[in-house]
Amino acid sequence: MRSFNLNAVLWSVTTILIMVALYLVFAWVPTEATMGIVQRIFYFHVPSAWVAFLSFFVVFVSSILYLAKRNIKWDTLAYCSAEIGVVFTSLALISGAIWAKPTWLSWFPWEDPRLTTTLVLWLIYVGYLLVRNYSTTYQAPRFAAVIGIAGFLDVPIIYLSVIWWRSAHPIVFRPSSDAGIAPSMLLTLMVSLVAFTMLYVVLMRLVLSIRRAELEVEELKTRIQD
Amino acid sequence: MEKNFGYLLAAFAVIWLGHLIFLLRLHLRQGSLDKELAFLRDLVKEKERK
Repeated sequence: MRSFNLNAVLWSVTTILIMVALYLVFAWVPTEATMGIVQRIFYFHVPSAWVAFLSFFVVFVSSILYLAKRNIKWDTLAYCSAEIGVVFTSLALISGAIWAKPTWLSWFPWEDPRLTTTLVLWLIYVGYLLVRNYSTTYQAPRFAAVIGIAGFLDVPIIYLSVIWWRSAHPIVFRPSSDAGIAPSMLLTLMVSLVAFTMLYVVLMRLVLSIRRAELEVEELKTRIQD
Repeated sequence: MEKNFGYLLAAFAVIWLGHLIFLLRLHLRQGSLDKELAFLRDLVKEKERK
């Protein structure tokens, strides 16, 4: 009963935050002068990328804990977070491509280091899910944990790629303090970031409950066969 | 209509349809798992009774 109520509260808060974010993006925030209306894609694109990085950070930490303690709960947490991370990376890549076409006149400019390194990240974690879903060996969680840890090394590379290499990619959060966006744009971005983070939390709870049910099915099947 | 409005609309549709498809897939998975779990629990109970 308590779990049901918590779920309802979390879903309600997330829905309200998403509605507020949509209002701010489409009705409140002013249109950016240089890029025009397509700049508004940024308010969904950046939070999608943020949630993807957050998901892979959870995979990274959970994988380390799994290798250290060999407790299945850490493997379950990593697997569920990787699934959500791949979804959000896909959405960040696709929304980025839609933004790039009118802005850079190309759907996917390969010379941009942030795009290419993000695609590499997506491929790494698709590989992670393939190992988990199609490997029949009992060592699959261990192999996946290694991929989960090594794959996360790409995240700081993505962040720093626009500083290390020549890139036209817009930088929202840079280490120096001279950069910045208008306060109204920052507020819209922050509300969107909070809404997407809440979405990650509710999706994680749902995916975790499904994964636990899958594990229970496997356990019951074993008990029937014995 | 403003220039490039179609691109904004396409990105918006991709983001939210992506979420909806993912959620729908999760609910379908949960629905079939619930049925399978109920069936297996009954089977285990029956086996233990015998």
